[in-house]
Amino acid sequence: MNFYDTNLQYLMSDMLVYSYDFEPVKEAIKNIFEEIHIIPFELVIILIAKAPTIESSLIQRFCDEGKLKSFQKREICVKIKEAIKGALNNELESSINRFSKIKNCSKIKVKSNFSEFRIAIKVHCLQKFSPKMLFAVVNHFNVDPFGYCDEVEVIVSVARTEGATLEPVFEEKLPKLPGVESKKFASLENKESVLDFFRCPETKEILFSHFFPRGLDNDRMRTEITYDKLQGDIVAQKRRKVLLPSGEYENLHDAITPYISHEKFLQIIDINDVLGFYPSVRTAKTQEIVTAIIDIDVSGFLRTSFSPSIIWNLVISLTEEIVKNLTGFLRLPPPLVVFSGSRGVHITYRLAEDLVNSDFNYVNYSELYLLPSQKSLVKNKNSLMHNKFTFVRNLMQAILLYTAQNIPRERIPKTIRDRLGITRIMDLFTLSVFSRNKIGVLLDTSSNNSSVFRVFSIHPTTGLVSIPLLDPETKRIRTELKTYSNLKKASKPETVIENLKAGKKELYYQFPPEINRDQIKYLLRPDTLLPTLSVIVRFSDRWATERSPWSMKFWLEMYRLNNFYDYLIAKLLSLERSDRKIGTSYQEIVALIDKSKVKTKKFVREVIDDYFFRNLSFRALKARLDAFHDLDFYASFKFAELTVLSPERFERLFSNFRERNAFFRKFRSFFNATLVLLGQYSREGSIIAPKTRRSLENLSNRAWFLSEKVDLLKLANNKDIKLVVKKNFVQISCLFNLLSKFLQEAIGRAK
Amino acid sequence: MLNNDNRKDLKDEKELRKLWMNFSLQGDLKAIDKAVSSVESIVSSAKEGRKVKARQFELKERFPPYKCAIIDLEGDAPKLFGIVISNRVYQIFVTDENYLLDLYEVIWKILNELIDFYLFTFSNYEARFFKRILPYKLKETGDKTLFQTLRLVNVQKRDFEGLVPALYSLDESSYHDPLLRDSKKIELHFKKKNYFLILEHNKSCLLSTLKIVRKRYLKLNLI
Repeated sequence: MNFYDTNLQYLMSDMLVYSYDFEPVKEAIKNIFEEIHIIPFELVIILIAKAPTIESSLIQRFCDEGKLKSFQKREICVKIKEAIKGALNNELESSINRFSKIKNCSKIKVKSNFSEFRIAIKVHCLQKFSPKMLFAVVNHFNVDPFGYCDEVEVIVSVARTEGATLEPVFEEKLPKLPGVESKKFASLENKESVLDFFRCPETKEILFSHFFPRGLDNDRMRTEITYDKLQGDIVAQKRRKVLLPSGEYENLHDAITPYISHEKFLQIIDINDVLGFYPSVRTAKTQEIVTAIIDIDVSGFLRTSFSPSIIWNLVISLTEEIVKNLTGFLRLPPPLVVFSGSRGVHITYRLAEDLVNSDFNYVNYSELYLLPSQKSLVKNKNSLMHNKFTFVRNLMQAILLYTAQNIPRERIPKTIRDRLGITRIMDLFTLSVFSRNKIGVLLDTSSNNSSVFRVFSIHPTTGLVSIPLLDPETKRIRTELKTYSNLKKASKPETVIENLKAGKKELYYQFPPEINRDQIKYLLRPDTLLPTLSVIVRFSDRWATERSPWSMKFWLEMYRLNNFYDYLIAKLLSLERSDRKIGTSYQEIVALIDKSKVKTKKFVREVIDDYFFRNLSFRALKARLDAFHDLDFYASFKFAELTVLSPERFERLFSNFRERNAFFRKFRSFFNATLVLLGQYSREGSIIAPKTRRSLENLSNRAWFLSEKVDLLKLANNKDIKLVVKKNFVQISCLFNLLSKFLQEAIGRAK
Repeated sequence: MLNNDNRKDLKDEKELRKLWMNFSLQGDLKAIDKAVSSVESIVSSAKEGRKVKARQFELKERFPPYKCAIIDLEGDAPKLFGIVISNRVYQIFVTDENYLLDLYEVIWKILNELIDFYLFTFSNYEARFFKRILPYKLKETGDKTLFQTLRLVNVQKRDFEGLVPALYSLDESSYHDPLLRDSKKIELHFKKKNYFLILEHNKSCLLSTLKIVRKRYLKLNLI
């Protein structure tokens, strides 16, 4: 990376001022489906994009203006070509192939020849596609870097019957559009209607409740505010500084004081052409996090493939599932659900004061130290261990991952399931904007990273107000708003103003409920969200949704087990037996054990009782719990390892020292587990028959005797085994067989 | 060179040491009080010389009657030595780098009184300084084998573990620290003569370590 590289990047962003209009292709596809009554056998759509060369007008223009040096010409052409190739190959092709229907019924190839890119979309089984969906597939290749191209050409050919030659039906060069142009948006012409909306005094009250989340009196806790500034011919732009009537520029959060008069507030809106307000999740002065937010965003692919009502059904059912999990399984109060303004939904919570503290660059939740990958978490200063904003974001991601994994198939609209041919519901969701899956629903939590979200304002492209969706009494989504047409009517600024004037304030006077530290602590338990959070930390938000069902199940169960034992040990470590409230802690721990699905639940409970009532030392308790953890691990995930050594394996152990080391590690954990188990069984004096008891004692004695032999073996790195040692080794192997059989039965008994 | 067998022996030795610690930590109150009074007399006599300065205060809670103390050094070449015995905290320091040797003499005297005691620290720095550097700095002092017999124990869970994460992992709150846990700033504050900030930083270190020893180390290691 040198000066010229950064310079070229800026130049490239300057060059991207055009985009291509794909509307003619939409018309052509629609015509084909209408004109040809019998569905054609095959349809081929070829997109030809020509990347700029050093002689192109675009490059020449930049050279003439003196922005581009002559020696940079060739380099920038290569970079542009790489950008186009990367956008086409890496992201789009892989994500289109995600759904079986598109994968099975179409073939998509991307070829590049010098400066020419050729995307061939070959579709057979056309009866399975609607024209809208077919266009969505084509439109998916309308990538931003096409804006560099001199021209983009589309050829649509049809084969009417099987074996017939392809006839070109449509052949056209696509028209260029200015990159910023959009059909529907609020511009300066709409300023008067926007001002009408803000003239309602109730609007100011609602907005101020978000700007001052801890009340108007607590001025220090005001949030940062961004606003949309109306423009003449382009979409409204986000700004943070405002021009005051005095002629000075100031930050908006400084300009708006808690008890500012409505007239002055309107004056600021008027001077600065404000369209909408976006408070931040963090406070401006104290840099504290005050809001947790989940944003449901539908991808452009889904939006072009399906009608808005179907998309809205999907969003609503997804929201309902999230709210169901939040209020039921996770014991949180019903959140505030707000319409985003276009087709998404915002789910928000207010965070109590001092909920998350990271004064010394560490987040003060003990459960975070039980998560996997501790080394990388400590090294990365932006990880959830150091940064309170990332911590809240990860927590929200865990809620979403849990919902996405457990959402019933029926909750996804049938049309979407059938048309996309979804085999796994998880494929429809992504947690990260960097995910390779570009055609699903983005469950976005990035706003929690000290970003902003729109409240009770007009959306710049749709012109709809982001209104609360909940019924003020039942705290459930209002049934009339589950239909998209009703929602559009209800969220029009005029309707909102009418309702406010008619006194229906309660519909809009809805604010996020507050969650406290105990509630967050409950989310970080091994029986709630800790295993899901562990999966996110282990695989990152980008790859957590990319796992196969079996892999996901394995990792979740594994973390459920690991987290359970780690949490138990950490919890017991932080307890003092002399504490007065020890009774409540004991009950909590017992409830946790009863709720867990570990196989050695009974023994764990006995050991815990010993610790609380029979003065067992913590060291001894930890040794026992570690042994149970090993036992549970083998029982749940490696039951096949609990088998008797076969003669072949026995021979292999002599020759291969790596395998021998692994064998000894396993033997030690088996041995410890057996000793602990024998100890537990011997407590059940009255239950075990005297004969069995005697044989168990014999086994225990034999095990102790043979364990001494383990120390005599110094096999670690020596490839040759001495004769004396061989004899002991045989004994150990016999003991191993004995232990594995015993453990097999013990696990069966524990079940 | 260490091979795996030797490492295994070392591991056994470590376990044996821990077992031995279980026996020798137990001490009677008289022995502990005696050690406290002798440390106090050393500190008060050192204060009279005016080269070394000291601050001392009492904690509300008394440590369980174990023969142990918490120690902590501050500065690149240590300029401050903090120690907690029973419920007493002593902080001995110099304001002039020329008197460093006088400070080390006082430290040597204190350590001499605490030969039977386990000295818990929260880094390897103290052990490195007492065993490898200090014996060569003190030229006039007679018995230097003392430093090799010191029972220094590092209570960190792993290398470079921080005090704050250690406290947070135990669900405990952290102490106020004016240096915001940045020990690299000590040299700077020494030059600027902000001795109070260094003393407060040392205090928060000592109290945090005390908490970790009580709530984690002893629980995990006492039988």
